[in-house]
Amino acid sequence: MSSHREAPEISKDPVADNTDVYAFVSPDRPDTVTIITNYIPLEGPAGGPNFFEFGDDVRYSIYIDNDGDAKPDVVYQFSFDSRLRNPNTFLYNTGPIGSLSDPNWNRRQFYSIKRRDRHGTKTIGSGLASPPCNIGPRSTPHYPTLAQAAVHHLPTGETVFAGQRNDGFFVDLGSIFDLGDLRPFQNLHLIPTPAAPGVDPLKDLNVHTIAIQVPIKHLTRDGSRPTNQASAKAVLGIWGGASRRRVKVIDAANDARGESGPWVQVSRLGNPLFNEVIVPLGKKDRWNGSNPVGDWAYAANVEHPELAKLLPVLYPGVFPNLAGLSAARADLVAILLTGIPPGIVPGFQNYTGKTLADMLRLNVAIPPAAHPKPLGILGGDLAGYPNGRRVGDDVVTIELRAIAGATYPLVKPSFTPDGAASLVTDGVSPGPGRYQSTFPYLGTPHSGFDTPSS
Amino acid sequence: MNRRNFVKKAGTAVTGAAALGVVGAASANAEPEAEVTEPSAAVPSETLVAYVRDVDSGEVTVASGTGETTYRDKALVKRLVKAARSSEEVV
Repeated sequence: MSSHREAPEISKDPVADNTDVYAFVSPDRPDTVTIITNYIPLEGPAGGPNFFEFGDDVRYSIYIDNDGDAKPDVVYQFSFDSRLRNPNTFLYNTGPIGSLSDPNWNRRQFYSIKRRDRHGTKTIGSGLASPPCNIGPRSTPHYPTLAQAAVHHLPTGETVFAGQRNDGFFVDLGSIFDLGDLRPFQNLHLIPTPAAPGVDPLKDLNVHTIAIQVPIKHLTRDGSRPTNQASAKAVLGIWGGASRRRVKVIDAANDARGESGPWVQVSRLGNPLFNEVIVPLGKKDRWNGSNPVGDWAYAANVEHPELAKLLPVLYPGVFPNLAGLSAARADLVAILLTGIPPGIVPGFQNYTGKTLADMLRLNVAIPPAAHPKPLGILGGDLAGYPNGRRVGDDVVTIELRAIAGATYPLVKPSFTPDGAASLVTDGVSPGPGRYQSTFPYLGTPHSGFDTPSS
Repeated sequence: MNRRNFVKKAGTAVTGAAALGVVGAASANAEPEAEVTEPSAAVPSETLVAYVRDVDSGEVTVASGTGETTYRDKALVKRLVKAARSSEEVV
């Protein structure tokens, strides 16, 4: 998955598990950037009576580097606070929830936001309500209205939302984790079965989303809204992270919990699939606790990705040119660790310099596409991944094709990719209703009553 | 088991570094002041943790292995509180 349960330790700590990060110039407000970080993978919509919520004991952060050193220049920090109206019932809600202040809603959650930049740290929002989870027609009868009420416009210019959403990530998990099977091509697999359409198990699941829409001028190094895509100041490096206190003490006898010590990062995510596919199992937990500026330590895993070696083995005879490619993958280093330098893709760059760091790199001078293409830059759409990442970008197919060699000619034109490199896919698409055209862009979460439908 | 033996038996890793330093409150005055330093070793798999329950009464719990013992030791708590240097939170 993009980063759902991608490392041993964080797979046991869902509320702190950063599953996806998106960053894009907002299509309906192109003077702003929208950044989304998702948590709590694989939420079953019917998962009550204690429905999903953010961790009160987790600090959620969004980091923005605007000068190319892979260190955060702007940080947004989200902290949550759960409140129980009636401790003497087992119910999440004691009647229909008609508004965010409805007394029928028993277990609510609020949050505050701090922003840190070169001017210091400032609380920019507090007491902000999250919406309830989408339970069903009796409990949350007008869910879209409830969720819209939880979109908060802050006096400092940011718009925020924190709550449950439909998981926008789409992937055929069941096949990929079954020895790298891709159903549309599984007749060519080492252990063949007839080809079949892809299956997306995430299409019926929810996540918890932290979304913030920020004026571009609040994020760039000089406070401008860049219009020249060739300018270094137009590129932002973006990632998300979650931290916990170093020590937690449980006092069951007194029904008390205590925490102490500094915040320790337990989850990190920039490019989709980086920790999942690039970083080896024995280093994944360490990677989650580290910062992008130290990602030089993982450069060898990018230059010689394990998956590139596996594809020719799993699909005999399909990837002969990839099998013969032993050189370091400078194309993948550019996509994942430095950004794409000028002169590689006409009219585009998102290069942040020589510092090797896993960050989403967004060139904010590239305007939103009128008709986005899911394959992003690979499909000729400069506003899509790996220029940041939009909610509907097909990052699985993009990264599969890149690793399969489709992007290597960008750095070595004499290399001829295998024919399959431009065709390989897991064969799934987001389907209708997955997204919405306005903030927070991820669609209404599935309700517990309606999902699964039978 | 007395406190000295407990702490000795519990191992060498200490969270709240002052805990070991005040073993034997009577000798505290003779011991050197705690020195701020950088960690030189990884956290051990069995960490000794001392947490103060109540500063005024000097109640402190020392957890190690799968057990814990609570003491009333104002001198120990006083030194732990002194060692708990507040640091500015980084966002």
